[in-house]
Amino acid sequence: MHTRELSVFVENKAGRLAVLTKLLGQAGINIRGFSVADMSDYGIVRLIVDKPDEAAALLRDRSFIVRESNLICIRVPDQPGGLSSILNMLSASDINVEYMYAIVDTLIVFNVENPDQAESLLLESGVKVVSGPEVYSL
Amino acid sequence: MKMKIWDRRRECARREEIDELQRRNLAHTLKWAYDNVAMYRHRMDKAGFDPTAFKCPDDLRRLPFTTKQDLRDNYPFGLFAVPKDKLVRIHSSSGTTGKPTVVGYTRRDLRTWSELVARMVTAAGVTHRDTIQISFGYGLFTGGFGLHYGMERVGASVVPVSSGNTQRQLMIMQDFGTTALVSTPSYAMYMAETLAEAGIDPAGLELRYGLFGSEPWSEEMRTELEHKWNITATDNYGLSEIMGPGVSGECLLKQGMHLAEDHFFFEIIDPKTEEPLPAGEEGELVITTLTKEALPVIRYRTRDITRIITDPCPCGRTLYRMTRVVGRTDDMLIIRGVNVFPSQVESVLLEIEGTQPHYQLVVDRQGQLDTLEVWVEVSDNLFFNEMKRMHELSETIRSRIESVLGLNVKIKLVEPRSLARSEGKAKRVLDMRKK
Repeated sequence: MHTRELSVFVENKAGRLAVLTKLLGQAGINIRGFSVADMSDYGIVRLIVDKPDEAAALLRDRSFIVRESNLICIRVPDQPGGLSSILNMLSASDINVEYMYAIVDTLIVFNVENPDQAESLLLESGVKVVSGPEVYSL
Repeated sequence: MKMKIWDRRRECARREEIDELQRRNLAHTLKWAYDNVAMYRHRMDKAGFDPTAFKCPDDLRRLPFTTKQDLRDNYPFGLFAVPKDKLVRIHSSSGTTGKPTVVGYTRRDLRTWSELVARMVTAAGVTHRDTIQISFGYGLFTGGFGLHYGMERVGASVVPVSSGNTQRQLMIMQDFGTTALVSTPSYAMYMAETLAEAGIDPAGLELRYGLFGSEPWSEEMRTELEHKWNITATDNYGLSEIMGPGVSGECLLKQGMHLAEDHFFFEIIDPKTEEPLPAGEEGELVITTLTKEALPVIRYRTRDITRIITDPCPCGRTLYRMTRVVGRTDDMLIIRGVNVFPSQVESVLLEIEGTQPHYQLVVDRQGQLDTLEVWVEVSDNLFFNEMKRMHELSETIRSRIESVLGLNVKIKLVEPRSLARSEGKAKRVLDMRKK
């Protein structure tokens, strides 16, 4: 089962991230992981939260633009070459990684071209893939 | 398509009849203004112009233009040609950019105005069977009352909602079965958004026509409005200094606005040299009233940029047409020597799928160089979770605007609803250069 990610458009001006995180906090939504990709004028805030549906509805209600994507979450072996072995498997099968980032622990979420194919490929190779619900409740 | 014509005798008159009517009424107006308005008397005397010797419209060129400043300088009633007891209505501009301009109407002027609006709305598809929601502001602004009385003249059911309170507008539209909406195009767009947010399907409304005016808009915005509301949208034109709405309006063929040439004389001039331009060239519209009693106006500079079409319209009307106003000489920005109208940017944005026309041009100066930034609100269709696609989007917008304007621009994507919304005329330009 994939891990849902919310991408939010945020203008690069003081306090916007604070507003965003405060909204989620007040609604009792827990952020399990995040990443910020930024340009000079705006950024894309990527969020893994425990209640993705609620969070998306809340943000949209407050006029944020939100896009939802399915990512796969992988437990990367915590040892030298751990990440490399995962990436090699994906590239050997021609699966392109759009972006990835580490969330809690050594968990890393990947936005890949074909999450289903990537997931079964990794599972077959004995890599631990963590399900969405599991991620949310970590 | 069978289209109704309100006043066939006038609207389909032979050209010679219109020319003769114009010549006769011009002579009358010049005399009327000379006898009753001090400013015009002084100006004609100074130009050595004898109104009784007026022969043909070309003679007009010897007279100076009337400007908005002239109306301000004569605030409030200095240019009126009748005593106050002959006035039955007085309107005024808001005066946000200085002293307000005040305009007045005699009983006959109001009758003419209603008649011309009736003509215009009939051309736009309205009949006595329609229910009209007027979402123009009422009050001193001529838009609300102008449309109101013209619609009543046609016999339509008029709902004078005025502007604002968008939720109530939509409720009335649904409950009263509004069939035609009168508003500014930007407010119609804003209402359409609210409609979509409320989850109302426009196909379920009885709305069929939109009569939009009082600010420049683009052909692409028309397409968007027609699609969003599931209606036929027409453009119309007018200005309070001349009368109000009803000076010109499109028929359902939507190929230019038929001019009320039996009540106004139109010229196109080069706004820089102030010389008249040959028929068909784009320039500033100049209007002389032909039948106004209370406030005759001679060679009024409208600041609106348009073109006159003399080809006959397939609808059967013989009155010449003007193209949609591409901009105002005072909206026109000169950036690094290039003329820029906000409507050009709007056209580009609407061509890019999914882009809402919520934008603002921000002009500034760094050192000696003018800079132009275009701020565009992102929307659901305009947001991707991948940075490279966002970057591509900005680049697409940038390169298209640059190719249209011939200027370097910087695109700034901003959050939804962060640009100011207006229920009246949209504010599209922020010029931060020192004047």
